[in-house]
Amino acid sequence: MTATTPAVEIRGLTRRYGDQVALAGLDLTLERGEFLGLLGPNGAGKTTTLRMISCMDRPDAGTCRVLGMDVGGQADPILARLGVVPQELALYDAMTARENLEFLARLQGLSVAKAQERIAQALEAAGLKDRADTRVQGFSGGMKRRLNLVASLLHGPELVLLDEPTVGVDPQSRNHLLEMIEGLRGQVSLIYTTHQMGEIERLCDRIAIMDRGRLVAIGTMDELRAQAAGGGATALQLERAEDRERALQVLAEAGIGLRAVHSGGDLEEIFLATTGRSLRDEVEQ
Amino acid sequence: MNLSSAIQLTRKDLKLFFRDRTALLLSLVLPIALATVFGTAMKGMSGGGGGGGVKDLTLWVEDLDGSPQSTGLVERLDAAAGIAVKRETELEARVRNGKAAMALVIPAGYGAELEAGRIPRLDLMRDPSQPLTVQVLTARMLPAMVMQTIEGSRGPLFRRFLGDLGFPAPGLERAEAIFESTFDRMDALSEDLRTEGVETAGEGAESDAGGGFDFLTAAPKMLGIDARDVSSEEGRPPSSAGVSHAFSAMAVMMLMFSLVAGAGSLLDEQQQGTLLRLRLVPGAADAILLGKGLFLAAIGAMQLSLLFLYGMLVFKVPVLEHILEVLVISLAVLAAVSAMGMVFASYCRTRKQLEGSSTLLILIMSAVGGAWFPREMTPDWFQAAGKFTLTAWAMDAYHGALWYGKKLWPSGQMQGIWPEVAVLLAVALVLALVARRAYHRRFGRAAA
Repeated sequence: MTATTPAVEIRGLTRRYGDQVALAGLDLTLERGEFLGLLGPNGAGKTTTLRMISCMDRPDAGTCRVLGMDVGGQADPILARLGVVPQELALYDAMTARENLEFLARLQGLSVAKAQERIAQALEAAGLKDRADTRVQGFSGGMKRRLNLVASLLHGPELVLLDEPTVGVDPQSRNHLLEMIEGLRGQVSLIYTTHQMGEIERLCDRIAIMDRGRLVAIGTMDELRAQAAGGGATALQLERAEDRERALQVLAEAGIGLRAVHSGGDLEEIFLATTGRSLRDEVEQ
Repeated sequence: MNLSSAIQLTRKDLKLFFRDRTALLLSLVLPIALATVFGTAMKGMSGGGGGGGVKDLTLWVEDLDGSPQSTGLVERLDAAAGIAVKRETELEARVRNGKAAMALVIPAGYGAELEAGRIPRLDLMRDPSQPLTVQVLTARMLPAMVMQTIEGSRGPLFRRFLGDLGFPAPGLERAEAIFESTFDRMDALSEDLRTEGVETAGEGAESDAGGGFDFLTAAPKMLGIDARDVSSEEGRPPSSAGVSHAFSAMAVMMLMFSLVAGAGSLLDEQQQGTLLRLRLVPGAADAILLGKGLFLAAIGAMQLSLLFLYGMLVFKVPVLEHILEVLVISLAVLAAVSAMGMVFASYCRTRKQLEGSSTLLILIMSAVGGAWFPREMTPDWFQAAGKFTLTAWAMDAYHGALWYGKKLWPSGQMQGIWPEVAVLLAVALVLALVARRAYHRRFGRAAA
């Protein structure tokens, strides 16, 4: 196990729940220090992938190595270096912010002195220093989300998994959360799942798009645009927005037909082009 | 008022009600289950009627006489409706240990006394902590006793009449002895009843004698039976047996309710997401279970301490006198009930499911286990079922220590409570393993 080992290395990962195939031979690599956005419609296999990486589930086939260790036999060493920010607000409402952090720090095995140091840093980073001794039940959604984030980082993980960490917060809190996550660059490797494409574009080095348990696209934003162009879609970025109408006119005069015109050519368009537009209603099993 | 809207609301509520399995369980199944348990038990107590037969209660008998008269008495008792005679020796120890509600010792010379035309003495020992059984047994055995005494002394009486008619000699003396003996007893009995009446009037409504004539008390005396309450700790009033039973029963039943509800916090944590956070801590898998178990044991210990302290101060439950036994039993009970709570929490999917199923099971276990009515009055299969409940073992242990004064190990005539404690600890171990297995199957991780 060396620093050059990928943070996450998944090969042919398969997982079935009854007749339902959650993962169908997934291949995915997260390099050290990389921020990877994981996208996919409901039921694509994102949550199962995160469960595999966090040793919460066992694959039917394939391998999943995290920080150079196999999830099948080395869960505890992996978990000691892994931080997971769950989608749920995994906090004790009847406890104060400080009590929550103290409990989790002690549970992670930090010494009292180390725990106090980390807790002070965490409260500062979350902007909750002044509300440290307030019970969480009195917090706004944004405050809870910030506390939820720092609670997962107390033990100084090398790999962080974030599962929709900004759900239900106002723009200011979202921005604060994203700044906190950006502040982790250079310290951790990170996988980020969300349905907010803008957050992925802002945070991630590469983007992986999953559908039906498989990886259907992966790369940087530019690479994804190029991949999407292979299907006839080409994104042209105009230097001046006011040239849009003239550009369309030039294309038409040149005899180049256009099936659709989208302004922006953003990740959402690429996502829909990759995964299709049909509804993916997920029924809870 | 818009009737159509009201009907729509009613339909909606009915639809939701029938989709809520817990509500269905509690409102439809639970009453039927409890009524079945009570009905079965009461049928046994009341004799069932309709040809169902009377539930036999055991009368333990030791015949030290071995005469035709004493053998006849035993046979007559055994043939009596609702009595099953079991012969045994060392009956006092059996009553003191709560293993017999009532025991009759026929002393040597019983037959000779009858032969001599005197009403012989009989030693009847009663366990005051089983008052219902004692009363029913007394009522059932009296006809046989009366008949046996009359038949046994019929000859001498007859000879008395013959003497009056002019027949001489020994027959006349014997008959006179019978009458004198009977009149002596009537006098003594009359005095006793007067005294009891005065005491009862002074104490209020503790006795059902009501200051008048108590047939079940008086009749045995008339038949020469020395009835006495046997308890291991002399000087304690029989009423304290009921108090001890009540506190034992409530301690166990309420402990089960509160600890199973407490175990539901595992499901709350799952719903809130905090359980996932805990599971992500290295080495936490078994620590989560153990931590929850210890939490349940701690709140259970608080509950038991408060309950027994209250019982001690207000109802004079002798907790301090048996503090070692109470502590050991409580530890075993806490372990077993905490493990039971973890089994529920590991198998149930939601808190509602846990509350519905646990309420049903705890109430049935309490009834079958003897928390609400005496097990010895119920049918045999019902009593056997009681042995499969935590309630019965826990109550037997507490009641054994608090009323019968049993120690952990056998001492003199007294049995120890170690078998009950051992069973409770074994149950705790088995349930803990079941809970662990269920927990890992449900929340296990790849390395588990």
